[in-house]
Amino acid sequence: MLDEASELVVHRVPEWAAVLALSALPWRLLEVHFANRLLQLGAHAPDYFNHLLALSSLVSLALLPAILGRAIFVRACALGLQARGRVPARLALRLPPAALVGYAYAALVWAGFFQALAWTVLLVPLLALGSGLAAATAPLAGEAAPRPGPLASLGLALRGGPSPVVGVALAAVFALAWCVAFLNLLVLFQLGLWLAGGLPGLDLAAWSLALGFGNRHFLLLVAAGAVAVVEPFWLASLVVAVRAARARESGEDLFARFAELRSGGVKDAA
Amino acid sequence: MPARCFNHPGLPAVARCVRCGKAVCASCSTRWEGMHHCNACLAARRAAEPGRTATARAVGLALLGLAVAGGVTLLRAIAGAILARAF
Repeated sequence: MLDEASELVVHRVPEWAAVLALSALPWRLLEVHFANRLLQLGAHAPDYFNHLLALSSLVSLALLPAILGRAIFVRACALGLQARGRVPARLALRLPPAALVGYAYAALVWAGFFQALAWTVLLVPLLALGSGLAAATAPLAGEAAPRPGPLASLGLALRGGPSPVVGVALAAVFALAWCVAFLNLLVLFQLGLWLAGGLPGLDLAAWSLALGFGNRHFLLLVAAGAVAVVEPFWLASLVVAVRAARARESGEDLFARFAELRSGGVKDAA
Repeated sequence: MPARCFNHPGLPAVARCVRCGKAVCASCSTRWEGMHHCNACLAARRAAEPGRTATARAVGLALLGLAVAGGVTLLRAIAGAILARAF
């Protein structure tokens, strides 16, 4: 499943992974800014509630293009799995409106759950799983959409997803992947700083402070960067898992296997 | 099954429409209740569906989504203020 997902992202939909990263960039940067502002204000945060509300409104506005970018990427992954090749732009961008609205609604609800429960830290992988499944199970690739409704859009993730064991295992793997990406990015910046030490005229002390472990804003940005690196593979693996679960349910995996055996048989006969 | 889509001869067919039997590619095919339908047969089936239109439901869902977005915005600000004070 993970091999198929990385093959999908690297070889079939790399341009759509870039679209995903770019569309989510404003949202991630604003979230980092919001978190940094909260940490700066500390115990005085309630006194600046209007400022926090204004920042939160900007974050919610930036969430909309991020949701659109995710929908396009998930559709591209699903079409890439079906066609087993690169996905033309005219196909990937033709999102079904009703499915897009249903997914956007589910994404906003999961964003609400995230805001309410992210402070627990331990629940973050499960919240990310729910949010990812909302995207992977949305009928964005031409499947018949259920009647749009508040519960129908949310229920898709429960009815159409992989088994809970597979879901939790994927969440654990990608939580670890995030940690590795975070550490790698930190090391990359320190390496860059060390290499830049040879450049004349560079204020190394100031840059060491800005890119050091004591700079909270820098650490939050690296954390957001690690999420951006891991996200395409995370979504692709969920799309693969959901498609595999549906194929097992409908018998399509058997059909594909027989077609494969038949074409192998014809080749052998030839 | 024919190798090419009925509507797009340049694309490979992935299934047959369960109603009319035409070979369809990935973009022409939609699964409804686990069975592949071409766009024309899907439209005919949807037109036969009773009740409110999908468009009206989608508009209602979009409005509900805007309300949820407003709630999420407020929740983010409130939760942030409380957590920043608590920790």
